[in-house]
Amino acid sequence: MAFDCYCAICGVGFCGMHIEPPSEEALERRRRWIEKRCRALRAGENLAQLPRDSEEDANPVRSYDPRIVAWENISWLYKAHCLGMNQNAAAGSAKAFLSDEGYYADVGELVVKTGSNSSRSSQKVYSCYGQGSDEAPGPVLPFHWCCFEILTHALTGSTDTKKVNLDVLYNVMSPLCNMKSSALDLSYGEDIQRAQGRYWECIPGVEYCATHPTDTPALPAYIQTNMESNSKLKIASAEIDLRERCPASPFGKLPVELVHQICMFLPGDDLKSLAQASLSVHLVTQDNLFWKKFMQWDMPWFWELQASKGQKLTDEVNYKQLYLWLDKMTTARYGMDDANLIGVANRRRIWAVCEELADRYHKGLAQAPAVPIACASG
Amino acid sequence: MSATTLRFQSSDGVVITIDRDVAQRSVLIKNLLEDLGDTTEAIPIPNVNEAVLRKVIEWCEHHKGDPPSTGDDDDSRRKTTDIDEWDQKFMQVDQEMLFEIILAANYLDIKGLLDVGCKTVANMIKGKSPEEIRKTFNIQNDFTPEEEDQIRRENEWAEE
Repeated sequence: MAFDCYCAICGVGFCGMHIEPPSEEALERRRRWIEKRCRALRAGENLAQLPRDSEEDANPVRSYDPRIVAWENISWLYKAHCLGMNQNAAAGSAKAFLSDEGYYADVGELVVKTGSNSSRSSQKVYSCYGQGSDEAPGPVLPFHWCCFEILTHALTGSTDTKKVNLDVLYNVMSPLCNMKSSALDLSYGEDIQRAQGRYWECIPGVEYCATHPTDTPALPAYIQTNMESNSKLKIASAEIDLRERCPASPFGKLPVELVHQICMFLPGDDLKSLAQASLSVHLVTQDNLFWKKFMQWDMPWFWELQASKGQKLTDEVNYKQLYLWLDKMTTARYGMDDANLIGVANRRRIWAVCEELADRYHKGLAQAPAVPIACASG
Repeated sequence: MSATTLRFQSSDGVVITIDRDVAQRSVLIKNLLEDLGDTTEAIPIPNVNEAVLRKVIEWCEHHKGDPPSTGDDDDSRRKTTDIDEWDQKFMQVDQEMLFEIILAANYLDIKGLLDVGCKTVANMIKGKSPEEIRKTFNIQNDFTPEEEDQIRRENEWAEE
């Protein structure tokens, strides 16, 4: 049994965040700490089993870097909501509900203030992931609100949280509760799983998971600047001289738009493999229009890009290079510290968890009896 | 009153009779009927042979109760390649037939079937190395070693 429990969607905790006070010495120790682990990762070692030297044992780094995160931008982690099921609801009406904002009160309990208008404010206690009791009903699934917004986007394609069928969502999420009753059995990422101890561990080098995933105001300008001035994004792909060859493959017999349609169903790595396997596919996947469209499909979590859908193509930019660059730069990784990108990298990580849930949700939705969704708030 | 069945002639000259509502899963046929009005003549489908046409009809019959597609791609689920069980079984055909079905679905404008076909091909590609993909689809390697090397390099974002 864990003592802390974590967001059902992003896997990160609701309390116990530590940010190191800045000092030359501490920053140097932190640099060495992370560098050693980056080296180990490159050598294919498992960070959970990495031995510590005596200095590290005496002085372990268990906090976040003050240059990357600050209290004002990690306060979102402390605000908890939950999805619960009201077993006493009248038959035929929606039973699942979303709680108002509350806070995590240790030992698996979430406290939500109610009736704030009255002079005597009362509170409601819920039991996260566990069976609960009359005083603290459960199990409820706790989460950060922005994580729920990302989930809503992944489930419905819209930002309107009222469009989510909460009954179905609760029924697909609650059976996924992990053995320790601390989170769900979903792929939150290795770094996050290591941090999910009995208490949340602030692993240096994993600041990205504490970074707000949707409040990323500097990102569009950052992309724009790179598109204008990053010369590597302008390198044209080398053309292949066909000479006498006429490539033979079943894909060569399909009209280009059908090859494109198949490509749109592929993740980036598989698309690269296909284009490396087949000259005919390679030849029809070289233009900017294709890559711009592919980027939109492959990066549904990149709302800043989605917003630029209608924009004209910039001729000087090689969109395949742009895709490769964005794909690399927005992948959450240990030691990541670029303030422009860690937020969206966290969003991408959370989106992958949401997609795992989305598959189950849509199956559940197909089988669910029609419930008036309008009733589903509470 | 319109006839409840229609007759179609495949590219190899076979005439097949189909329920009107089944045939109208095809947007091409639906539009054609709107222009043509009632007809008792066999409608020629010059691009599709009998075997493929029968397969396509089988799909349309199974899916005749489906809600009509909205035409727009659903933003939230566009990347998923989940295929329902019946469709998966339906698509267990040899590769030539699979590609023929895709072409026919495209020609006849049957979006649901085209999607299932493309997803089936995508699922056959997923998780495979270029070499394995060549094997799966019987693609001969048309690249020179230099080109292969060049494309591999171009496919990675190289950081200094």
